[in-house]
Amino acid sequence: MQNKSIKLIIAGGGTGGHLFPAFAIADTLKKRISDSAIHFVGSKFGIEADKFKSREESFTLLNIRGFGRGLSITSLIRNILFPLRFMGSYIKTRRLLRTFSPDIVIGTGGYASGLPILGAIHKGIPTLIHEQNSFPGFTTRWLASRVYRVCISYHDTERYLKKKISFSREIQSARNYR
Amino acid sequence: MNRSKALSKFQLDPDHPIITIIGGSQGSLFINSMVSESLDYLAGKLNIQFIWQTGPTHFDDLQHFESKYSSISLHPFIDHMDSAYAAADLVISRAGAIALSEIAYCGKPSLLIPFHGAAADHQTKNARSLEKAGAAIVLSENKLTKERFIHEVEQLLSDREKLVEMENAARSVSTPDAANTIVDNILELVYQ
Repeated sequence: MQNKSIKLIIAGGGTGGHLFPAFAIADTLKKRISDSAIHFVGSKFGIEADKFKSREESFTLLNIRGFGRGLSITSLIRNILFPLRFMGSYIKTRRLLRTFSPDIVIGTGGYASGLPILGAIHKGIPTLIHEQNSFPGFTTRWLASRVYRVCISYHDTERYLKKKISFSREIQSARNYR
Repeated sequence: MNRSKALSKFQLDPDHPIITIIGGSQGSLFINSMVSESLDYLAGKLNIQFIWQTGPTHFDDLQHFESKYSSISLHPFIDHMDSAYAAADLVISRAGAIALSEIAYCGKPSLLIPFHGAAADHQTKNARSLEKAGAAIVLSENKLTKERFIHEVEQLLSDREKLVEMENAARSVSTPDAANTIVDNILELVYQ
């Protein structure tokens, strides 16, 4: 039963710390079930905009980035644009969930991981978040109580989350340790 | 990846110590500045060699060091981190969770300088877990001077026994099967 191919979306990025776990999960799943269909979701402002191109999986880049901190003009413009980008990205995400029709959506953190997880929750698709850091990021704190499962790296993280969680320990990066 | 293969990839000399510097995928201005200011002594006098991931934004400003010292291998981003770790006698890094997982997995002694601006100062918490295991030395960026930085690097590299202890401690906290654990969780959710 557990060798049947599955379709999944893995959303995450911004920095290598959120992106490489996504690649590690994809590579490990493909080793176990080679005909699984995997689609990555990231932000066009993150490191993944470049790194996805070197992968064989299909991908979607959302036009979304975090809030600008401080009072500079750039931050101000970024924050004014945020609701527009959020809505546009959410519509794109919903369309992707409809057309790709995943069995599960995985979030590995970073601002592009929140919307696919939120869309999957709204559609009743199973969801899993992988939280790498001892203090959970925004997406994890926002959505942990509504996803099916959260995998964490540090026991400490449990203190910040209401939900009962799996303990995954540290994941290795996908950067070819051969 | 073995050490000699990794060394030839970066064109470094096996007879002198090697430090790999990782400021995260975006690079760390603080670590880059600290290393830049210490190079005259560390590279010039002690003949330490560096594999240095600067981050794409800082790369151009630091590129002149590569022509000044033949012992520096400078990169905006390193895709084959396995070689960069395999070559290293010591790793100097920020303390993002994945960097620490990689350091533990590769069994490398590390000098960690957590980014205090990270949410809830979580990098310090990440770093303390490796320090507690005896695998790392944690330096706080608020109090760190060039002199202290140089002292810690010199001290560590001259103590082979301590480095081996730290390597073993790093390996002991590594969990190489984590990706499989996550995939187990995924399959359980899909098939339940």
